[in-house]
Amino acid sequence: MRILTAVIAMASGLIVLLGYFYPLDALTQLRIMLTDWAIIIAAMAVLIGIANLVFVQMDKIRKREKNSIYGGLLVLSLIATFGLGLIFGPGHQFMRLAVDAIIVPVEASLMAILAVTLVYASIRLLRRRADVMTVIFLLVAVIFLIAMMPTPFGPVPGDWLVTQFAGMFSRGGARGLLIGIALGTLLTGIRVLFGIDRPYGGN
Amino acid sequence: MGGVTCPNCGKDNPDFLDNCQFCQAVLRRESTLNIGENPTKKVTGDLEPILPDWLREARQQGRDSAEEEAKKEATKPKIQAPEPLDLLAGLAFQAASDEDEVPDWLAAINPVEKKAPAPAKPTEEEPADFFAQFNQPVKESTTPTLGDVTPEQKDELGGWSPPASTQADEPFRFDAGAAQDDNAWLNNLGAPASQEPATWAEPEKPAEPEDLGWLHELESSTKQQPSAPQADMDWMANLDSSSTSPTGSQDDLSWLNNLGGTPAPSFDIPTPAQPTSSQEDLSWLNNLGGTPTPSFDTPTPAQPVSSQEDLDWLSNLGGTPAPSFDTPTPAQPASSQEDLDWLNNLGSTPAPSFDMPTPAQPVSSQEDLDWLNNLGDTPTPSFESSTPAQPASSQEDLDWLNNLGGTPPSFDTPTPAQPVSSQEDLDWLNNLGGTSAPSFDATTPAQPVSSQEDLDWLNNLGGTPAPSFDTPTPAQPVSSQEDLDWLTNLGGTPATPSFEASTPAQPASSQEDLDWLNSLGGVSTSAESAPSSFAQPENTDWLNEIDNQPASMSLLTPRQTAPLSEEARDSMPDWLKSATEGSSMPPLGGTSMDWFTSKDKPADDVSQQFDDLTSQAADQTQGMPASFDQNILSTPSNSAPLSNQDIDSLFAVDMPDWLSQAEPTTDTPATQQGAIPSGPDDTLSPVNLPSWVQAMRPVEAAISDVSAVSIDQNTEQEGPLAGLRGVIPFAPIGSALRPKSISLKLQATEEQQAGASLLEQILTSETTSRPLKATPFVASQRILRWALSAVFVIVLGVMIGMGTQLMPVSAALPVAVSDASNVVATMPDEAPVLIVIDYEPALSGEMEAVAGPLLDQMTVLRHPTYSFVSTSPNGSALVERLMTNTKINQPAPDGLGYQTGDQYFNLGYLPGGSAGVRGFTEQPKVILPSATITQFSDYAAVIVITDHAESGLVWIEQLELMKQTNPTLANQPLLILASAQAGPLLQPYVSSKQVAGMVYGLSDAARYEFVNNSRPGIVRSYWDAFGVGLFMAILAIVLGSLWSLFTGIRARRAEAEQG
Repeated sequence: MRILTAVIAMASGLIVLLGYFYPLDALTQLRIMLTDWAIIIAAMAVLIGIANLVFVQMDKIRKREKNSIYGGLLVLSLIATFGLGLIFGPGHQFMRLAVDAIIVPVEASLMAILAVTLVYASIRLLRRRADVMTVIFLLVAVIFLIAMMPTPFGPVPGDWLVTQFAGMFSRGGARGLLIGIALGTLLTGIRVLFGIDRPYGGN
Repeated sequence: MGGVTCPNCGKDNPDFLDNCQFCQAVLRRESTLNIGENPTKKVTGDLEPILPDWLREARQQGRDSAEEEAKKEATKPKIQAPEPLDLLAGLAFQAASDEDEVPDWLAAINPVEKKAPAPAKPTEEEPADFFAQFNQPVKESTTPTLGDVTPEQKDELGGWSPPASTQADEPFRFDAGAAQDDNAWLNNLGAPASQEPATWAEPEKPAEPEDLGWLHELESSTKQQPSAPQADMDWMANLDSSSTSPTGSQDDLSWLNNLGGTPAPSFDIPTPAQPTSSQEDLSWLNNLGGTPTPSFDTPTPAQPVSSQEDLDWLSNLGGTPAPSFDTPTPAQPASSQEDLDWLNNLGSTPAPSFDMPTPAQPVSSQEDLDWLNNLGDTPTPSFESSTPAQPASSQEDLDWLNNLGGTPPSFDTPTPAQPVSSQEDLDWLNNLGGTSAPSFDATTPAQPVSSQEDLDWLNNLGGTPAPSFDTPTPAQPVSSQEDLDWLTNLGGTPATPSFEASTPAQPASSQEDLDWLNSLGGVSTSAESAPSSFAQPENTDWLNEIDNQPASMSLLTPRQTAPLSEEARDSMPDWLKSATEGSSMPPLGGTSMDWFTSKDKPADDVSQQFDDLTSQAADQTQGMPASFDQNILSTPSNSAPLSNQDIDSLFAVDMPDWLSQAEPTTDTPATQQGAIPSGPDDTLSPVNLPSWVQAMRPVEAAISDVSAVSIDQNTEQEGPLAGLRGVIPFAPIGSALRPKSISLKLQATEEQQAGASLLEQILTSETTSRPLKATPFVASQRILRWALSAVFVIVLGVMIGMGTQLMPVSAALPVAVSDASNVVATMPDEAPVLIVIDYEPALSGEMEAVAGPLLDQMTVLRHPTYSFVSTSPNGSALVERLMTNTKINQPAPDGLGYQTGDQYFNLGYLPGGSAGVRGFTEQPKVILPSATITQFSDYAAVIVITDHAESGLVWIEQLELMKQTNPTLANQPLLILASAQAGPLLQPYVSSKQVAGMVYGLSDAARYEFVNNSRPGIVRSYWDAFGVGLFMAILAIVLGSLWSLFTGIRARRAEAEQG
């Protein structure tokens, strides 16, 4: 079974890859078919994930584990939202109300707490570890904040210089990250194609 | 997780449920034991049905297998288990085989391991004295049981004659009544295994280590005998009583060894392979009187032969050869005859031969005693009449003693068994020294009188009269000091009559008993005094020789008695010849002589000297096996020719403890080595073990003492391994082979102790409860967070609520923002535009603020048709919010009045990530059937609104690849509307022109909005709050960092100071 899964995975990957390099009709069609299958499987995977989430929470509720009530709330919310969405559609005002009144505010609040947490962490950074790198980090952060900070008096003088200077470093760093990401992605794909990594199981 | 299986449906249920959640069956049974309930007793057999099947099957299998095994075992033939090897079986065989070689008289002394056939021990108590044994009738049914000897009596032998004591497993009994004949006591000496042997009576009381119990008993036995002849035999009776133990007998007889000044064979318990040794051991006896003993021609069984040979020395004790025994007598008689002849010669006069075949005891007694008559150079009347066994024998037995000192004994009244024998027995002793023995009053009690009388002869032994004994002495042994007095006088000096009637019975009697010994040798205590013979002047030569030995000479060197005549030498049996050659044991007489010479020494000194004697003897025998094998008077160099077992068979006479026990202070190194080594923590002081005990110790210790002899040979001397070489590895005392004493204390180093203590602390800390640190409800950290939150919420809320627009916006557009603006300006009108919403609801505020100005401008300028698609499940739900907040779908005059499904379409979720994007770009209708276009190239622009760079990368990469394959997509612009965090990562794509334009963050959005004269959107309302917020953040960070730096330094300084 392990060999079969590996063979299927490898064949599929090679076909799709070859389809990109060799635009043959058959190969293209095959690629498109496999791609469509992947899209469908991915969509079903979302549903499976949701179901697994429900089952886990239900198990916690059944076993009366600690904080299982939150799992129950989750499951109820899920069921309600899913049901209403099926019934009324995603554009219904109920659905928009759920999104606008619950989802967005909750997540936005968490994001706002993140801002305060970052400030607090920056304040206590020197108390934990007072070294050169910590000081440099804080200085850079402060400088950029100052450069981007609008003032009643207009932009801070030299903000363009800071922005360009910052942009230079950011662009360079970003490119480096992107190259690394690309290379990693390529290597991971090759390993999967060669059967070295089997994220689909069977190791 | 713990659960309960439903018995009905078999499904798992949580343990907290009472009923099954599936079938509602009862989960808890009455049989289930709940917490707090007492279990109910049930028969296990009843529980069989409820057992699981697998367990039931296992149990059944076990039963079946057990049954099968039982059947198999029943069918198996019974095989006798091999019996364990009897490693000591050879001893019995050896004992049986060598039994014949042991002379009778010696067998009587050293009974050969005949405990099994041995009859019951005699009930009557036997005197501890050596001589008392002769007075007691020989019991037919009893066999000498030297094993009856108490350890204390055995200890009396000690170093003086350890082998004898160790092998003294059967007491030597001598019934005075039965052994009234002259040969009776001798029969008892040499015929322990005979059919009518004399048996050692059990000691009355355990003798003290240094007590001369045998002397006391001797005295007591003499007192018990009323008749004069009895008196003469008293000493014999006492001898019997005192020599109940082999040690006593050995002690009693050992003095005989010294009579002639020649090394006497030690009296040992008769062991199997003893005949040769006995023969050898007794050879010295032949030389005792300075005359060789005639060889024994008549072949006799083991015991008789030995007894013959053993007694020859007695014949020569008086310096005249003993006539050979012509009449073949049964075991005992013949041997007794032969054995006793020497006694006749003891007094330098030949004893009449015994022609009449006498019964075992009488004849033997007669014969045995005749020599005694001759012992004092005076002929004794032969006993022709068949006297009662014991009385006659006693009389006869004692006659020789009377003659021992040169005076005939006087037998007044026929004494009863014990008294007569004792009296008679003792008379010869009185005459031994050439002086008449005092008459023993018949009225004296048996034992005391006998002891007194018995010992008188000893006083005369040295040529000086012994003081009369007035106070009867009990049978109890005497102190060693007092007992040893006679030894001091043995050299010829009379014992000072320091015994008073008021003295305790024991000391007085003992002293009196020993007085005869003072005159035994006729040697004065002074070293210069000429020794006096007990019988003749020539008899004391041996004593003189002993005294005249140079100091450098070892005390262990053998001494010759009076020179033997050629005839005597020729006729001397081998065993006696070997005795004349010397023995490994120090001559007791020799050491005794030194001891004797010290007449001025007090009793303590005497005892010490005797202890020295015993210690020296112990030294010699310490290395030897636990047996009375070796000759006491033999030197170590002479131990090789003499077999220990042979020696053991000769004399199995118990030695008194005072003779055998060594002086603790004068222990030689050998003795000390033999002592048990004590560890550093032992509180017990090492004890000087008696020689016989030391001899029983492992051969390793024994061999070390005889290292001069054969240190490499490791030849076993006795026991079942006798004669074998190298069986037991030699390991000298103190060698590495010796197991080291292991201290009971745990030897731990300091480091280990520290580790152990640390571990102990850890373990104790685990059990001890630690007080929980009470955290304050409000912590400084929480206060700071709350403060910051409050400040930000309040200030920013006010700023937003007020809607101020105090913060100016810069008009300089970045390049990417400018390019995006250009794209929007050059778009065709009412063209479909794909808007990809890939941001999370958490960043919807920022993204809506960033996307609002561009979408608003595009809508206002080009009235495109928007198609919203999202690669995240939440994106599609944010479309309406975006359209609402940007007021695109708001009705006019506030909004632009876009309607869903008309001007904008929400295509929904696009799954599959990059594959979905790829597929959508290739077949939009296939992937998303709700798409309004047929080809992806129909979209005039693609706007990707994302808060993370990955989503932007996917669209950028897929579209770029499509543009390479589909030229129609080459002019399709791609705009990126990103958050401030994703902008920098997407900037390279902008620089590479893969992205037409990008607006990221509020700053760009505000400038875009300001430049494009867009309707005021949410960006402007956020701009002032955004500025103030950044200002507060910068201020908090700077001030807080400085404060944290200061406090951190102060805390570290404090910790450093505390150390």
